[in-house]
Amino acid sequence: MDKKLKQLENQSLPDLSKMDQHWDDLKRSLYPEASLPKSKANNKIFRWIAVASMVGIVLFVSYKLFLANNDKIISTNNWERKSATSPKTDTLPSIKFLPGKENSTIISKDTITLRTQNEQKAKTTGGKEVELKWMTADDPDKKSRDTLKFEPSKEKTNYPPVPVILKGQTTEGKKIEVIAIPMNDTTNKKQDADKKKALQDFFADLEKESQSFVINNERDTMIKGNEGTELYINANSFYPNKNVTIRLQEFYSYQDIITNKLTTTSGEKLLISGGMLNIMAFSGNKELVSAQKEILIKMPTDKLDDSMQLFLDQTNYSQLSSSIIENPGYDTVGFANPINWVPAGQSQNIQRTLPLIQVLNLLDDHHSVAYDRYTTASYLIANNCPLSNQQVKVELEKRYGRYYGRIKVRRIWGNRKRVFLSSNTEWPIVGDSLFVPFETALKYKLISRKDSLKYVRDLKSEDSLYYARVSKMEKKYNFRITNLGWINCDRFYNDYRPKIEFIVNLGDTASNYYTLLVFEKMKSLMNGYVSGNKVIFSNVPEGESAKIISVSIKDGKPIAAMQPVQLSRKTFEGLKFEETTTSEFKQKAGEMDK
Amino acid sequence: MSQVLPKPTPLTDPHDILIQGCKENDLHSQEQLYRQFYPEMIKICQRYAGDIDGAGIIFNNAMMRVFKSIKKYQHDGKLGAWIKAIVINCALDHIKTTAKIKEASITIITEEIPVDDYIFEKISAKEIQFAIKELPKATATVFNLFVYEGFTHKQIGEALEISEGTSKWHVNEGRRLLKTKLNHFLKTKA
Repeated sequence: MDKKLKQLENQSLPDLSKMDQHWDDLKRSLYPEASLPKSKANNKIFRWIAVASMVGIVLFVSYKLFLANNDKIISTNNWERKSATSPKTDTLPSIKFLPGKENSTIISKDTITLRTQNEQKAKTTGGKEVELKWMTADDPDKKSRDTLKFEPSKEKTNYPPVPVILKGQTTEGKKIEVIAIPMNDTTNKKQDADKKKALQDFFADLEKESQSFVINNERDTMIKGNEGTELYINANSFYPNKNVTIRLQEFYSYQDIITNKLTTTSGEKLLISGGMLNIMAFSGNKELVSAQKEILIKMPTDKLDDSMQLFLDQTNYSQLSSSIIENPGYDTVGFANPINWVPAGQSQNIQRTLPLIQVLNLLDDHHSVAYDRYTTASYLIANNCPLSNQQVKVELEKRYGRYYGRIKVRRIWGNRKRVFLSSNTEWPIVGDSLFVPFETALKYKLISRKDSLKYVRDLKSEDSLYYARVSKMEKKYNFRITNLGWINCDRFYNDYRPKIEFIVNLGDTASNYYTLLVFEKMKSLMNGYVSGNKVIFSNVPEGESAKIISVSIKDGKPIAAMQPVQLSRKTFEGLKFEETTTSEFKQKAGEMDK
Repeated sequence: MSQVLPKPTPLTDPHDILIQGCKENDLHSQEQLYRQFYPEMIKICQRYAGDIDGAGIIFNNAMMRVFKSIKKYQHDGKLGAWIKAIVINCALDHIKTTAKIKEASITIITEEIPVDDYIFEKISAKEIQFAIKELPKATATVFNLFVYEGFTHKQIGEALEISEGTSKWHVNEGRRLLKTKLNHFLKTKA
């Protein structure tokens, strides 16, 4: 019985769900004053920064209080509160709502400067495109209405599809507050709705079919997808259901990602994808949203990247759908697959089996230094070191010659692991007995590239089978999940180049198009946001090569454009659209995988 | 340039670089060491703590001791065993503070209680751990030490300050209760 229990225990998987939290706790215990150890010099700097910040905050708050008092005076003079349902806020004391908009949700606030009362074009500080309905304090009985156009914001890319209240100022310097509503093309609304419907149908035909597996929940099960994804499901993960159907969709290629309208962005940050999965479980018709035990997922890759981590879909569908219902004219195509990927705090803990190499340890401190006419440093090497004392001396002089007048080398007999405490460390400092990974040896120039290549070659020839097994094992990303749904293996895209807004002018209402920017050098795809005829891709690296893919419906037939482009600040125009079919579009998208 | 010896045999612990970093209080090395041993050790801690949070506390206490005394660690290539010993000691300290294992007048049953092998084919390790957790705390602790940690009754007696006979009784009692629980569990599952 004991043996069986031990066997079972060895097979069980550890619960790693709280590893990060536990490490953070320990880190705080180890370094209670701050999360990280800091030097005294750093502490001094931080203390100064803290003092400066405090002074800054005090000044800022005083200035804001002063401004708020000023506003209150002007508002009281020019405005009167009429609506009982107006939102209560201290900074906006006198809001007037237009009929029918009393219950509008305030998503954000902005400031607008109106140069004239009937101005057609103006800019908010955020620079948004809105239909603006407003009343001036000068003429409260006459309700002036106007439509103002703004360029999209640089700061706030996710412009809400609901009315927002704006705070403004007339040419006379009077404060006004207005409700801003996104522009809708009411004349072509029906036509646009048809186009969107047709476009959705086009993509529905391209949707990737899911693979279904029926598993016995009472047994441990391993599922392997067509593209190499492996799911390890523990027995009773979906207790008390017996037979469970697992549906799996795999998205590893550009073709699949593009045709299923998936993107790789987390907030405004670009991600590089190592593949996406959609995992669902059903017991009969009932969908099971989570498993009671962790499911191990292995995702195949050609080239392992240590920085890949697990991202989950965190889009709030309910919030989105309600905003669409409130604004039926709002672009729904752009939100067809609105996944915002958020990191789940699971990175790859890849333990590489690095071949070790024995090198002459020239990084060690000297054994002793004598200060006489010359500063003489003595180094110790093992007796069986294959190099002569003179050879070692030459190597040491190359590195430390500038510190010492003379370098002496002495051989040590006996235990090669003998520890010398002269350098205040217990690290063995005997010259040639140090084993380090190849990379370390190369980094510190302890070994020539030629030597290391020779060594790798010898090692591989000695143990090629082991090498093959290890490299095969390392060609999979491992994650553990309990909540089912969309998962993505990604890493953040870090680029030193300046980030820009790349604008594509489609020459037509952009909300009727599904437009995508696909990066060629890395598996990264992003949606732009729509403004009139333009699609804006923000926060993209300048000079990066990419492909613009845009699809729409013209005269009832699908049209598509796929054009390579170098990202620049200049607005891109002249996308060439051609009639296409689902199979043709799929085939063209697949060309990016080659 | 240096030459490479023809048949290298590692003389030092493969964790040497990490150990050296920990000796120098390098946070990165400490984190690497922590994460490397977490999966193996948290399983041990979970056996003695009620839940994952309790297990985390035990493991963190153990790692605190590890980082404090790593300067004394001899490079004998058994870092894992050394850390495991500290983890078990911490788990026992935890047990001593939460449960009192009394020396009682008991009847020692020396005969082995048979358990059908088929039980283990239908039950997972987590379910067994759940059943062990439901045992009286003292019995569960002695049972875990004997079965999973491989302690002898003498070692258990010294660690928990009880007699060898008491330790034997707890192990047998643990087996008996566990068997009953597993049989019951299988029946309800079916």
